[in-house]
Amino acid sequence: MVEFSFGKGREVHPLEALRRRLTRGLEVAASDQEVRRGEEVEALVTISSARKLADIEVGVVCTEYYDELHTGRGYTDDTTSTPTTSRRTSDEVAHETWSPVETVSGVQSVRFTIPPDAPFSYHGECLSFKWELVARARRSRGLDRQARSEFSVLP
Amino acid sequence: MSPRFQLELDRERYAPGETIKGTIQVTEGGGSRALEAILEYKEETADYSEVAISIPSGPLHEGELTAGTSFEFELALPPDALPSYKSRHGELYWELDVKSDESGRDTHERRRIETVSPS
Repeated sequence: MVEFSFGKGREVHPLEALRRRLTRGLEVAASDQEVRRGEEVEALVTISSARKLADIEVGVVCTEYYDELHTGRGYTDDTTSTPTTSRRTSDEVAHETWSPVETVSGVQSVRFTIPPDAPFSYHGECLSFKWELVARARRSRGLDRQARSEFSVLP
Repeated sequence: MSPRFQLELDRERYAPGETIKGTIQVTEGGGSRALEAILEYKEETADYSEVAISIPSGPLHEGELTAGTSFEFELALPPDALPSYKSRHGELYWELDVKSDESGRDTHERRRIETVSPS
């Protein structure tokens, strides 16, 4: 089903439309927007429609974003290639813990402990750490569902 | 000729809000426009480095640096100073940078500052 329209005043960005499709029926939120390392964060998973969803799980995920120098080849004309460099931001999961959730409609609570030696939330110029609660579910047909909610981890 | 200096600190570890007291000993004299100490919170990846926070002392001395002279300074860590952290692809840390501003390449003496949680 196509969800975005281009009518005046009703425009929905294609990425936002995709996000809505991916998260339909599944939501996740943190009970507290800020927690300290070593403390617990409570994930509230809301399943509005469990129909067609399977293997639902919720996790706490920290992603590290880091800038690196990328070297490639560029073309000055049809035949001559020259080395080119560019700054790119790569990412990798720095920490993740997952827990299964019952496939029933309603709100479920899952608590996770943030390890004391895990990264703290940080948004920098060349290095960042982003913490999110993630709920995901497998669908028998179509795109899998995934909902995300950012929260802050203090040092 | 560029000057050379040694950096001495009153302690090895500091908590947020504490003052770092140090002395810069000039071991070799040389031309300099200004001498300054800068406390920095740095981000570093394998390929890039950025300064996220910079706390300068202001000029400690202006003009030629003479061997045998010394300069004292004090710089306070912010009360909400973030800790150091080393990850798989990068690092966050505090560093003290003593810089001699020169007409050519500046001279630096850098020292990492270890921070501890407030007790």
